[in-house]
Amino acid sequence: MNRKRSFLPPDVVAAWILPVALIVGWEIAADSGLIAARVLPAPSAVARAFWQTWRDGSLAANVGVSSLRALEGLLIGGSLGFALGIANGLWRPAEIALDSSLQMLRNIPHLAIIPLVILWFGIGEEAKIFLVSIGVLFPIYINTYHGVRTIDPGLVEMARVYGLGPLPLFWRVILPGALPSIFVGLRYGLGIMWLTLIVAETISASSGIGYMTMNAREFLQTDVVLLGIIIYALLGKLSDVATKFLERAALAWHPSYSRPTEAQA
Amino acid sequence: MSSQAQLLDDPSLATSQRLSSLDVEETQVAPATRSGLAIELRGVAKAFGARDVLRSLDLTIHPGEFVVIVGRSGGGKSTLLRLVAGLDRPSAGAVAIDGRPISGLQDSTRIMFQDARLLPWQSVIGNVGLARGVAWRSRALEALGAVGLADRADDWPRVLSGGQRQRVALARALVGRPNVLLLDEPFGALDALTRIEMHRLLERLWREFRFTAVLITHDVAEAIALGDRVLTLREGAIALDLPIPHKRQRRSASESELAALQARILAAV
Repeated sequence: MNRKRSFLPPDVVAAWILPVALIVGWEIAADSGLIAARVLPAPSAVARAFWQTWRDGSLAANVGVSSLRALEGLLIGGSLGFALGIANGLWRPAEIALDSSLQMLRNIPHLAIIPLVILWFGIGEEAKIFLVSIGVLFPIYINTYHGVRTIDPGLVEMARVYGLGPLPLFWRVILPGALPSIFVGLRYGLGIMWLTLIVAETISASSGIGYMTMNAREFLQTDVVLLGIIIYALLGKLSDVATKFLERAALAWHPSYSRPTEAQA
Repeated sequence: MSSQAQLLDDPSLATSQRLSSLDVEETQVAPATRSGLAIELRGVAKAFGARDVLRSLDLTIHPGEFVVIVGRSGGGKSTLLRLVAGLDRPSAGAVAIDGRPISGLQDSTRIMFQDARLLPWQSVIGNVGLARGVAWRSRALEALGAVGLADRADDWPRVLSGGQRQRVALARALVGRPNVLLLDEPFGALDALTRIEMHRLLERLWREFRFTAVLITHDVAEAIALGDRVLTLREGAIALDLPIPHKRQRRSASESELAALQARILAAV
């Protein structure tokens, strides 16, 4: 029943073979002059750029600014989407009044409203946070709504027969039942969050990773541009890992998220 | 006689093994402070649109009685049970429990459904103590002990078998010390052996807690095995109201007597 866990599962090693080989090949190609440094600087040059920007503090400052924008947007858009999803999922009048409008708004590519957002907010922080919020809102709304609507009505009926009031019903039945779907929405939302932020920071910003890369482009610092792209990739991966971790903790009951060692009886 | 009896006699099945799990130690559950309550239906009718499911039904169930309702699917059995539970309202007439007309869900009434309806995100004990309240853990553990599953308290419901899930559902129903227990074909999806285990468990708990029990089934053998009284529903009305004689000595009743009872019930379904 208990599967033996080796110290380093072979799957983990296998997943790293391709990226490591690519980086080694790239370094060799760049060092031998096969690829011009202006097109694609060597990994070692990117590492040096990392070290320099780290030492002068600009990297940490820019990453901090970008992350803060992302989190603020996620918090505002995410909680709005969550609240709307719960309200429309549970309360028919709210659904009738709001859902079709939300479905309509959802189909507007949120990046299309950038000119409008700049007219409204200028190029300050509000513009970027607004854009991220709008981007995050819809996937979280749709999946929360869907999660609430697809809860087994038999469970809700059972809970009412067993005397659960509205609040315990929400906390013990509806929210946990909708949670797997809400997490799907959160992961979609995180992807959109970084995407939106990159675009917003590239178009107009005076700080952040997007600004750092656009600035580097003007001085032909391809290594810094590449560094910025890699940082985005890492931030995206980091938020995905964090969500997976949260999922594991919150959905331990769910067969898809349980560890293989927790075998069926 | 029935397929259940054949299965029990089949030596190739590890029957004694299966049934031994039933011999849980007699539990320390204190006798219920209140016994079962009377249920009264007067002129109860229920229509869904133009379709009359129940028409003018009169029925008196005595406190502590075990009544089994047999009928074809779509014959109004579940509708009747939902009316008694207060989940639905009758189109006409009234349902009274303990002499008082009901107008919604009752705290004294619990239901067991055909599926266990356990919350997959709550542990077994979390499901049994669903309503929480004072000292819910110890009360839930006590109820789990009564159905012989105290050692599974911290498991997720998904690792349990179908019979175990229904035992958890039974424990959940008993935690509130119900005065009325309504059972909507709770053993319908179980295999024949597990079903017999559940019959014995339910009968033992019914004797211990003395609640009024109303069981719905389409299995005539199950009806005779458990009921003090068997009712059949046909076309929205009671077609047969048959007291089961020698309830306590039923096991010693002869095959022909049982067969006669079965035939009478089947004729009325």
